[in-house]
This record gives sequence, C-alpha cells and structure tokens, in this order.
Amino acid sequence: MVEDVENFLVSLSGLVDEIKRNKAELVSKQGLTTNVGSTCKLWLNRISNSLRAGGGVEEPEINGIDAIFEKLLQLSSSPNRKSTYIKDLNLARKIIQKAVLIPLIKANRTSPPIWQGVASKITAHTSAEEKLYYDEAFAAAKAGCFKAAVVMTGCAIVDRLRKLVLKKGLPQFNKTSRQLKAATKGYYSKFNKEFDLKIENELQEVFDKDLVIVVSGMVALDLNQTKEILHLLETRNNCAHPSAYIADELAYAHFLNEANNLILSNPKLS
Amino acid sequence: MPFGAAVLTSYSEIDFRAKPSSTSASNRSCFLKRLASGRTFDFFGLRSRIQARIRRGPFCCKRLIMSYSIAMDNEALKKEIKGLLEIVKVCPPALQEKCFELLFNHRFGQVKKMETIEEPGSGSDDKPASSTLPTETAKRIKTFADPHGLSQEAILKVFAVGESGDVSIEVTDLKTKKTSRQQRRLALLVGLRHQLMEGSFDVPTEELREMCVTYSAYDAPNFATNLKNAKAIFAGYKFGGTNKLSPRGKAEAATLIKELTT
Repeated sequence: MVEDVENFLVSLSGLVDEIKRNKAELVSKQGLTTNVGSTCKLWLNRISNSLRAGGGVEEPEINGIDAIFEKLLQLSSSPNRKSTYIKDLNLARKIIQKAVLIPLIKANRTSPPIWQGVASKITAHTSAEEKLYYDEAFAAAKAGCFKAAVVMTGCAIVDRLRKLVLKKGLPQFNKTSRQLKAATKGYYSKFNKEFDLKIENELQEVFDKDLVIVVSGMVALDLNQTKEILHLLETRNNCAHPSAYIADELAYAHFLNEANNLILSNPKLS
Repeated sequence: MPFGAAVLTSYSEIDFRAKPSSTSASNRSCFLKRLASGRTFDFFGLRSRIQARIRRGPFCCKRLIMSYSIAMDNEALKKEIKGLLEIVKVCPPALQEKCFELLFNHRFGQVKKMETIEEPGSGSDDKPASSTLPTETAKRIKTFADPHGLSQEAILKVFAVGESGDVSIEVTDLKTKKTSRQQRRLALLVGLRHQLMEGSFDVPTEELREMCVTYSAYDAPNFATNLKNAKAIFAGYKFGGTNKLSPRGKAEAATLIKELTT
C-alpha cells in the first residue's frame, strides 16, 4: 500500500509539473484535463477505498482528501485557472504525505526506535530505583507519548543531581551557593541566591535551575555543559506544558543522548 | 585414585579465566603497583611478558595473570588445598565432591576477583564498549573499522549495540539539511547497521523509508528518484526490495562515520 500511495504522489508531482508547463492561463487542453480526471478517479475509486479497507489512516483525513479530488474532478470538466489546479494538487500532495503515507509507514514499522540504543546505555548507568523510573519513561516513548517520556527522563536526571548534592553534603552546597552569590564578575555574577539547607528533604524545595547552577559550581563543571543541562531543563519544561512544541522520536533520542552524555555518564557528576 | 589426589593432580588445569566485566579501577591500580614494584611478579621473567600482553589487550593479560598466579603460589596453594581436603574428609563420601567445589569456589573465587586486570586507560565505570560487545559484533566492527582507518569508538558513537547483538542507529544529527543528502546518508547508515548486526550490507527500502520518516527526511514524491540518483552506493541498484552497499558505498559509509563523529 505504501508503495502505491508513493507512486500516486509521484504521478501527482508529474501532473503539477505538466500544468506548470502549460503556457496558457487556463487549463483547457483535452489531454491535460483528461490526465487530471484520471488521476482523481484513481484516487477516488481505488486508493481511497483500499485505505479505508486497510485501516491505519484516520477516516476524516481520507474524507478530506476525497473532497479535494472531487473538486478537481469537477474543475477538469471545464476550462479553469492553472493556479487553482496547482493550489489544490499541492494541498492534496501535502495532506497525503502527512496524514496518509507517514502514519502508514509508522504503523508497519520494522526497525527498532532510534532512542532504544541510547536507552540501553542509560540503564547501564542507573540504580535499581532509577531504572524503574526510566522504564516507565521508555514505556511512554514506546507508546508514542514522547512529551511524557521527556518529562519523566528530565525529572530523573534532576533527581540524580540531588543525589550528588546529598553525597557531597548540604554544607558544601550551602557554601557554594554563598560563593556564587558573592561573585560579581563572570558567568555566576547574575546568580543571587543563597541557601542554608539543614535537612536533606529541603533540597526538593530548591528550583531545578538553581540546583544545576550550584552543582556546576560545586564540581567546577564546564560552562558549556552547564548551559546544555539548563537547555535540557528548558526542553523538559516545554514538554510539561501545553504548547506548540513538538517532541518526536528524534527529539526524544536527542534528549536521552544529551542526558546520558552530560549527566549520567559525566565523571564529574557521578 | 582417591578424590583428594585427583584434585591435587588436576587443580592446575582449572580454568581461571575471569569474566571481562569483573574488573575495577582499584584492582587495576593495585596490580600495576605490584607490577611496578616487582615484589610479586618478579619471578620467572614474566614481568615483561605481562607488560607486552597489557599492550595486546585485556583478555590476553588476564589469562596470563591467572596462570601465573597459580605457578607463583604453587606451594602455598597446595597447602591450602590440603587444608580444604581435611575439611572435606569430615563430610560423607557422597557429598565430598560438592563440598570441595563449594569450599574451593569460596576460597579462590576471591582470588580470581582480586587478580583480574583491565586494560590500562579505562576506568571501571567507563568500561571500554568492546568489553560488553557480543563477540560477533565486535569482530564485524573490527572487520569494517580496520581497513577504513576507523576506530571502534567512532563506530560506537554512531551505533548503539545491545547485549543480544541488536544494533540501532544512535546519531540524531546527520549534519546536513538537504533531504536527498540525508536520505543518502541514512542509506549508508542502514547498510552499515545490517553489516554490524548480520554481516551483510543490506539496505532494505522499507527500512530506509522508515528511517527517513524518523529523521524527517522523507520526501515521498522524490524518494525513489533520490535513491536512483544515489545508485553508485549500491551494488546492482534496484528500486524496492533490498539493495546492498557497493565498495564505494562502504567507503562512503566510513567517511560518513568520520564526519559524524568529529
């Protein structure tokens, strides 16, 4: 089915090129209008029906594409403007690729998701407790819920930083925060918070961004790495709130890779 | 032959090879200190042999250390085994063998751990990826990497290898924005993935299409045309089905790995 739809798109592209080559403003050549008509009939009589029978594509999407081809079929019965044809054909092309072809390819996928390789590396660096959390994140990613997976992974890496602070001791964390606040020049000059944590669970009250900055000062982390970790937090926040931000498989694989390189397998943060 | 005598004559044949993963930085540094001081390993002229084997790789070295440790403490070991046999004699005859095995493992299992050595330059937490790779995959990586002047690490930066030998493309940035070039690069990576996984440079069209979708490099009307334009990287190109990478494709794949890892 995928190849049929792909070939159909190739023929649509050919048709668009043919119409563009037509010198007149109106498409009236019989050969050309016949071509448009037969392409529309191919979709309406054969491909559309096969897609409905085969499943894997949303019914409203197919109906939408059907409507475009029905309109084109009507247009082809009388001379009409070239730009109208091109506009509708391009629209059909876009929708078919996005709403038909890509879901079909994804539904029949044979290769493993690309984030899985990084995931196996990550689980090698995690404790049993953390692994449970990561497993849930990976389950979300498997189900295609990449935003949820990014949020869970992001929280797990912050937890790793908290564990590091507890390992080094709260007094050192407090002391570093005072030193960073006192800095009047350089990267930390804008940091103006001072912590005086006494009990371990108070660490949960520290904002993640502040935690990252103080930890970077504690372990003298490379500033580029610090900025990238802050960027990871930003990505996590983007995924945690309704927005136009798109998190797909590739974005999640990238997020995991960065988390692994910057935090989980970073010798300064272990 | 009584059980004890059989043990004493055959104990030197026991396989003391350690698992590659049972290593640690402290063991390594401990061994290197001992090696440097010459207190422990200054017998039989084996020091230079051990140093040579360190250069050759961890596995060779481990085997040598194990066999050497047996030779070194021959008398002490005999005494210890005799001591174990004294304990074994207390057990009923049917259980003696099992009892000896348990005691032996208990005693020498520790030695085995202590005397394991890792290749210099690699930490315990940051083990070389090769130590956890399935043997077949490691061989295939070597077969591809060596002739093309690639390091194993470079390949492992681009591909993730699972414990069961499954390989997946790990790189997320193909370092090009042009769809046709992205598609060509993905074809090379898919071919190499199959080489590492199965030993063939197969590029199934279906899989390539999936990868293009994942990397947002799928341009359906031009997918076949792009593939046709890249036919030089395939041996006897045919659209649909499975193609194989040609020698040029393999060389291009090696260049791509270099580019992606720098």
